[in-house]
This record gives sequence, C-alpha cells and structure tokens, in this order.
Amino acid sequence: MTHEKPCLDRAALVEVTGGNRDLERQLFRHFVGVSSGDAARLRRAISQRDCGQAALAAHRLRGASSTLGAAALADACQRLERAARDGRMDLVEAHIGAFEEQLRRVVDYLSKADGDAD
Amino acid sequence: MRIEQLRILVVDDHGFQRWAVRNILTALGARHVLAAHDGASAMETLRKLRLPVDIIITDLDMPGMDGMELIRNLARERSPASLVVSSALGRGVLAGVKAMGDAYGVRVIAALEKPVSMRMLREAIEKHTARAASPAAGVDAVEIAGALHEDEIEARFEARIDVASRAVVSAQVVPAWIQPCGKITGADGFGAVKRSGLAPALSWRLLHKALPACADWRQKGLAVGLCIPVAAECLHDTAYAQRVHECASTAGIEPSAIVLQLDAAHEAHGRATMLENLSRLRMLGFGVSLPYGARLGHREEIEHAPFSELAIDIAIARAECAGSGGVVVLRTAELARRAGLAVFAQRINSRDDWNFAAALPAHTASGPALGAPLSAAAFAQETARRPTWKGFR
Repeated sequence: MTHEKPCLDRAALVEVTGGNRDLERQLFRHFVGVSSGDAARLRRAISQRDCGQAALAAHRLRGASSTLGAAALADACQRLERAARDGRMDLVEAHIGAFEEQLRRVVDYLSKADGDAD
Repeated sequence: MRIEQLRILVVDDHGFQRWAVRNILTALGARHVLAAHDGASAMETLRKLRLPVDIIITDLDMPGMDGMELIRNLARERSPASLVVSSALGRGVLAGVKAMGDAYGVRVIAALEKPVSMRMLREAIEKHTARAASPAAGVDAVEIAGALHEDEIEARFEARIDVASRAVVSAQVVPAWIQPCGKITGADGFGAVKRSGLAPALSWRLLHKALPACADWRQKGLAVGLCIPVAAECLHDTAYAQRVHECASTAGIEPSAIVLQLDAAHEAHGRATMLENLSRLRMLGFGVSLPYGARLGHREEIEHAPFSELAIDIAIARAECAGSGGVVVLRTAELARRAGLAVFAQRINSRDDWNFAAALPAHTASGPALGAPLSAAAFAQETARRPTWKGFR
C-alpha cells in the first residue's frame, strides 16, 4: 500500500505563521475563498483561450499555495503559469487536471482542519 | 519605537499576499497597517497621510507601477521610510533591486524571498527599530530642520594631509549638531539629510560657518585651505557659483584655497545647469571634487566635466579591491591623474588604509586616523602645534 504525500507541509506553514494557530485558521479560511475565485478565473481564461489571464490566475494561485506550504499545488500552478506564459494553451490544458486534483486535496484538507479546530 | 506604534504600508497586487502579510504583522502586534494594490496607489496613500509611514513592504512584480518604479518615486519624494522588498523572482533579482534602492538613497532594510514568514517580518522590523534607536543611525530630518533653525549646526574640521610631505594642507569640513544639553551628533549621524531635501540648506550653513573660521586662521598665519561638502542639488541653482564667490570674497579668502566637494548623490538631471556652475566655479578659481562612486560614468566626468579632483572613499575602494571590482577604482584613479586631477583619499581609518591611499597614489588624504574632527579653535591650535602629521606610532 502506498501512502499519499501530505498536501500541506506543516513545517513550512509554521515558518510562515510562527506557529500562531489563530493566524493559521484565518489563513486556511481566506485561502479557500481566494483560491476558489482564482481557480474560476483560470478555468474561464482557458475556456476563452486567454493565455495572459490564465498566467495571471496561475501566478496568484502559486503565490497563495506557497504561503500556505502547499508545495505540490504550488508546483502544479507553476507548470500552468509557465505554459500560459509560453502561449502553450495545449500544455495548460494538459496540466489542468493535475492542478484540479491538488486544489481539491488542499481544500478538503483545510476544510477538515478548520472543522476539527472548531 | 515599539511595533504597536509603527505605521506600516503593505504593497502587493495580490489580495491574498496582502492579506497574509497584513495579518502576520497584526499577529506580531502591529496596530497601524495600511495596504495598497500597486505602486501608484501606495504613493497616493503616502501623500494623503498626515503622519509619515515608518516601513513600506512591497512586492516587485505588480501591474501598473511596479516595485522598482515605486522605489524610484520614493527616492524622488525623499521618503524617510524603511523599505522591505519581497518577491518570488529569486535572490538575484532581489539583490539587484536592493542595490538599486541603495543607489537611489532609499533605506532598503530587507529583501525577502516569498513566501514571507513571520520570522522574516519580525527580523525586518527589529532591524528598522534598531536602526532608528541607534546613535549611529543619526537624527531624523525633522530634528535636522529644527537644528538648522535653532542654529545648532556647526562646522567641524578634519586635517587633510599631503601624502608626500605629510603637511596639513587644508581642513575637511564636516557637520556636527551641538545640542544645548551638550550632546554632539557627528557627521555619521546626518544620513537622513540625503533623503530630506535639507542637503542644500546644510551645505550653505557649513559654508557660512567654515569661511569665517578659515579667514581667522589665515589672519593668524595658518595657511590652510578648506574643502567644503556641497549637495549636488545646490548646482541646480544657476546663481550658485556667483553666490559662493561673493561669500568667499566677503570672508577675504581667495577661491584657490577652497575645494567644493560634491556629495555622492550626483545625478544626471539638471546636467546643463550643473555643468554651467562647475565651469563657472573653476573659472573663478575654486577647486571642485568629484566623488568616486557617483552614478555618472567616471571617464565621461573626468574627461569632459571641469573637476579638479577625484575623491575616493578608501573603505569603498578597499572593499572593491577585495572583490572583482578593484580594477575599476585603480583605473579611475589613473585616469584622473592623467587628466590632471588630484586624487584625494578620504575616510582613512587605519595604517592599512593609509598604505592603500599612498599606493594609489593619492595626493591628499583625510580621516579619523589622521585627525579627528575639531572645532575651529582646536583645529587651529592643533595645526599650529603639529603642522605635519607624525605618522602611525
């Protein structure tokens, strides 16, 4: 049986928040709201074949994921951002599945962590 | 100043990053955190505020006015704020932008790789607080303005030594703030002047203080000249050269005894007026000193602008020689000598500095190791007693 790598690097998150649990919870909630908006922008940009907007949305998602310590999601965003900046919508479409999967994992994790904390 | 009292402006186009930095600062205890989504809105926020911001934390890659343009604008407005730049663009870019900020005279206290953490922000704030509290950080612009108004700024004089004969040939003028309580702030404490717009006023004050002192020495038979620091902004006034000439005439000092030393904030703008002033000063017989490290190309300045001297900060020159840039300072000194400029080595702090200056070779030198800054009376007394520097013991 293989174990999936954790989607959040706790050590990286503690580095950002200084171990402040209140701040961590606020960060989780804020990320869930912001990332759903940026992900919607990314999907819309892809449907409109707009590489510039796709790169911008991916860039924002990458920054937010890094802050959270969500390294795999940040990597997926970086692949999307690079492809979009290169004008390769075919590669953006090829990478979008992996991004959606990582985003779902992170959001599930955060929602659960937030519920546990309450 | 405690973190609760600091006014901090966070500039980032990305709402989440702005929010995160803001909330980390709040968790650290900050109470006055403002936010802007790009450079233009940051400048707008700064203009609208009644009280100055202490720290600006800015992203670099932003649509509209980006972080680099923001730094340029902060320099132009002479913002006294400490600046923290943060970016995911890598260390190379951050180091370059920090160097750019330093060159513009903006106080860049940290360059942080994203994601920005609580520890990074705490350290940056501690750096700001330590600098603000340190005596070496000096006084702020408001205090300097007050000191000028109260006539508490005095000229102090360091011996400038002829490297070959070791004779004291002139007095290097430096500022000192003498407070009524007796506290003295030396030249190192005047860093805020560069960013405050007070540099021309300080230059004039030093000139007005130094000329009568020098006239007095000369009347008493002490044949030394003066080297007076001048803010580059002074040269934007077309009447500058004439005004200096009138002051020297009133004091009864011939122009050839006076060298006007431009500060490092020597810029390309206002170049025509600056060259007119430099030419007129030289025509009237004054010496004009070009600081090594000024942003314009040295070759152009040395060969095409009417400078009489190249001033080299030995601390900078030795640091360059320790790295790969050493050849530039040596070639520049050689270029200056060939063009007929004198070479002046300043900030001699040790025997090694002196040896370096002698090997350049510099014509004259000054610095703490050769003579501390003295009042006019003490300088006259010391120079009369020891007209020649005795060397290191």
